[in-house]
Amino acid sequence: MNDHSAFHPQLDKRRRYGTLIAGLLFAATMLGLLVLATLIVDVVTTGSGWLSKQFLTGYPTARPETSGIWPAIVGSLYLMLVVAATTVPLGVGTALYLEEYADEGGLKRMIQLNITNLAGVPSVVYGILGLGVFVYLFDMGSSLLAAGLTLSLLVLPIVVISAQEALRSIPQGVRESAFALGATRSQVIWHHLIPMALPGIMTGVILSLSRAVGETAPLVLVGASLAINFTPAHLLDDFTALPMLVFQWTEEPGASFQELAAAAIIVLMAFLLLMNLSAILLRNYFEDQLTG
Amino acid sequence: MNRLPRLTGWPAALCSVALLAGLVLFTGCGGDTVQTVRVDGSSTVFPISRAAVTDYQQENPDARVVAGNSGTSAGFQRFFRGETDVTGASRPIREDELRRAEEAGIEFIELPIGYDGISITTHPTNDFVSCLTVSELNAIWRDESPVAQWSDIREGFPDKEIRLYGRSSASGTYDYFTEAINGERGNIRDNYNASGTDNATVQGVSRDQRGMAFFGLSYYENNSDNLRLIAVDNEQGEGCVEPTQETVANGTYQPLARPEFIYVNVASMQDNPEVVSFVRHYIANAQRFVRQAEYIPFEAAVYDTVMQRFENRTTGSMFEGSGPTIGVRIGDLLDRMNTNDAPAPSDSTTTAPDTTNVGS
Repeated sequence: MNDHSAFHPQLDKRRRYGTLIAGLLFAATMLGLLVLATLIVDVVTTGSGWLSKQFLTGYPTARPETSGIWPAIVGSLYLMLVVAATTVPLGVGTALYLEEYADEGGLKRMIQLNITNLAGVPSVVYGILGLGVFVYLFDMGSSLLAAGLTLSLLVLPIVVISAQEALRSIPQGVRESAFALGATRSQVIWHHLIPMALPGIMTGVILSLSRAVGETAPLVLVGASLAINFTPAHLLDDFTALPMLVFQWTEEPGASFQELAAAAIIVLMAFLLLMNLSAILLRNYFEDQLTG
Repeated sequence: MNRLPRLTGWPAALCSVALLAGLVLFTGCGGDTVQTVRVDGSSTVFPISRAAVTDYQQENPDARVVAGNSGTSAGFQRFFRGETDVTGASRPIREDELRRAEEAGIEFIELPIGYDGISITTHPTNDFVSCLTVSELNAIWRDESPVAQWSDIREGFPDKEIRLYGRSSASGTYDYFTEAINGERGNIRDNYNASGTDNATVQGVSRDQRGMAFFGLSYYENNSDNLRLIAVDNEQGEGCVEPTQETVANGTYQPLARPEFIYVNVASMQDNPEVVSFVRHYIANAQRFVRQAEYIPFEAAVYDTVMQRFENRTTGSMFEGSGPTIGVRIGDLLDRMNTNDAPAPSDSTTTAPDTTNVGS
């Protein structure tokens, strides 16, 4: 009984404190959602009136009423294809090397540090790099390929890091059992690690594609077009992309173009939503395969 | 033990569609027989060029014409590399750029296409300023300006803080404004709110009762309810002049009105006949395109001279590398074009009038 009197549980106070913290954390979560909701409501109310077949299938012109975003939709889609085609092999390859082959030591640590830092470099800097290397040095001009490769550099660190995390989360036992049964390292990678890491890798790739699709600064620097009357026919062709038109239209003096920008943002967000949705579906599909 | 995922079912279909699309993209390389006309340059000129490009596209659906807006300086860089056929500029080509063009072996035709004004504005509730002289503007905006309160500008103005908004150094508007008001490109106080876009500058001053700003005239016209326009007195006897279509076009709103240009690569004209027909279309309908872009067109007769300059293939700059040139009125422009067009100017007395800078 003595013990009990020495201990002051203040249970009510601690419970109240706990509720307060939970409330604050909930508020923090809601704040983010509120910002998103405001953005969506604002954009949809301003822009939805402009969404029409003409807007989705037409070409950008000097008049808001006749402007469309078809070449930008196609351009953004092609850019994503270029980014996916380059970042998946490079990113997964780098992650496999770092996680499965590289010896622990100075070199690996240095590479790791650089990749982590690269993930935080502002996109304008990548744009300048892309302009100097792809547009000028490799003489690709302001082409789809030059822009796609620049965006690939931008998101490559994200792909590497997420693939590394996916590989790291595979229990060491999987590798050891496979080795114990006589599998070679490449067999372990192809037959076990890649399939098991696939959901994580897929998620990383698609999330980084969603980041790339919204980037404007690198495209501005590489010199994407704004008025264009065709969709790219090949990799070295001129192109435009959704964020380019959004950026240009928000700079216009008239109100109509700003509403048009909002409409283009709706399409861009639908694009993003679709990509994230497919990320989730793909991940679930592969997870089902693993466990089922 | 075959529980590991394989590419089957709809993910496989999705991936193959993506691959197929990629393949189509890669193999489509053969059919590039139509040459593309590339237009780039100043973001101020872009709305005019865009009007020209889309109009031309409509009349010639098979032509491939694209336009971008890298900015005047970046646009010239691409132009000198031969990447673009036409580049817009909100100021005449500078001397260093002329040298680079020569090194690159780029010959060009310089064509003025319309006027743009820079407006000086305040918050709409500001009721004590209606006109400022160029020297007052210079006192406010120049580097290391001591002006911190409205009363520092003129006696009788209130003892209230003044807050300044303007375009950042990346814009041609900045280049021209600093040259026209402070006598030197880039000469400006460092404590003003510099924005990358005109719209951001408009937002700034329209929400700040103590604010004053400079930006493109068309942005005032689109936001006139939220702004107060300030007239400018250039102290040359014309008194206070508000920027309007008329005062900009007839050259009385000075020094804050400037001609806009396009530069055409001569080699492109030989390589790609589409460039010639595009530029012809551009000049022939320039009045319409300039109006559509909310700038101020020249009189029709001026475009005849511009067209002549183009058809005569008169190369080089009529400003000889002076860069942002202040106080270019329509008469000066015609004089310069005529002087420049003449086969062999006999002596220097026929050259363009003095373009001494206003300001300190």
